[in-house]
Amino acid sequence: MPLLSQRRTEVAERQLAGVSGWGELTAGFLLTGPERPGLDPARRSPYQSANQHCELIRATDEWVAAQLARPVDHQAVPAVAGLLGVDLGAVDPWPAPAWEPLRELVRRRDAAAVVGALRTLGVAAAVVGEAAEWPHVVRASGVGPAGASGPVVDLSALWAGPLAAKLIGIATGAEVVDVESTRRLDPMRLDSGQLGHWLHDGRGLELFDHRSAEELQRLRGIVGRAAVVVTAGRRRALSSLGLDPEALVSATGAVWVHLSGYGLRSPLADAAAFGDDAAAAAGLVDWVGDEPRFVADAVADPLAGVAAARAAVELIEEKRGGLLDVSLAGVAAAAARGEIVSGG
Amino acid sequence: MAQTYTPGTRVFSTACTTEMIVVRAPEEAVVVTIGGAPVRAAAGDPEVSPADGYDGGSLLGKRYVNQADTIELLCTRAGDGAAAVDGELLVVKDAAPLPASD
Repeated sequence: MPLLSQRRTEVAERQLAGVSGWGELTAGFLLTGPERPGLDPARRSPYQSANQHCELIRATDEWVAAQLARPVDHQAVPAVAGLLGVDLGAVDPWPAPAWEPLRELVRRRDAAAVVGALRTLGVAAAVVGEAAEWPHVVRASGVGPAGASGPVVDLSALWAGPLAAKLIGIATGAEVVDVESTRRLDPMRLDSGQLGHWLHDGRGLELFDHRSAEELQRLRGIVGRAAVVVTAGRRRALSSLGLDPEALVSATGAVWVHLSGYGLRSPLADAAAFGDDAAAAAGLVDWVGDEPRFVADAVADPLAGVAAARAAVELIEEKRGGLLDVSLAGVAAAAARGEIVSGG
Repeated sequence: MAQTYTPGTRVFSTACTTEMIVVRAPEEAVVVTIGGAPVRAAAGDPEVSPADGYDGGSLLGKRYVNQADTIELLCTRAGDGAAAVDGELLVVKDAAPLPASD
């Protein structure tokens, strides 16, 4: 897979430097080392991401990154065509992998319209470079009383959030507990590959059912006793669990690390995102002539995980609480510009 | 009034703020209501209140389906009314499972 350029690797190295216990980690390991299962370079086109869930497609004006990761994303493509007013002729039945019709309709419309329609349907997508000028969005707010004690409670899944929790655990020596809904288990924790083991071995595990009011109350109890809480996703995912980061931070002085594609408060706060499309939005791509290529594997995830952990460790060392609103796109944009991200 | 719907069509409640987009629809004509009142093709102020039994509300980002799984509506703006097709209340489709990787 295309590696990060030397300059960008150095940025990631500097991001890791100077935190206790992180010395043995290298950017090379985090960004490309723990090769994930199912990533077969021979099976993908130059336009596909390493996991083959995301593709770079040229619209009439600019390039678009679109992520069809889940069955619902493929099922949404006919409605995207309808919304854009693109008649693809008699496509019946719609192919289950909907890549070919998606490519066809992207080629016929401008990038902003295509991305707007995909986002309306809940599909993660971005115009390449649209967030390139975004500032660092690792920002402490709602600073509370002196730092709380307790475990690192990780409600996130997949890559960026669990990485942040892992790094915070290494730096502080705190116990890390995974907290997951029985109806939405973390595939990465269940994965038997090297990365899943590295992230999750040695952690505690608390399961709850997010459809039970009693269980949600227990969940809020667990979160209320945490020194650090790690969550990921959009605001409405927190609200549906009855979680209020600002309230907890002011009540207990916890550090709450929230990771999302575009931050909790930006105009794109409701847009879905994953590591490859967020990196593309940030302009963190390699250009081959006038064509972009994804770099590394879901690269905004490890960059954001490291940046979030670093900002959290800074707060913990200062014995301060706070909400860190970390966006994958903002961190990736900063990395593309060669900037170090911290809690500041 | 019964009509046919195609994917990508937006529907707007006449009884609340709910807006939805058609993800899938049957070939046959159906009656889509939100809050018990027929939907319209453009946004506007509510004309009536949600009817009893159709006032359970709609949540942003949720996908709603019928028992036969022939129609699917995605909520793009929340409201107090619930969607129904030919009088049958739609139910929330299970949350999309996480992909195997990010």
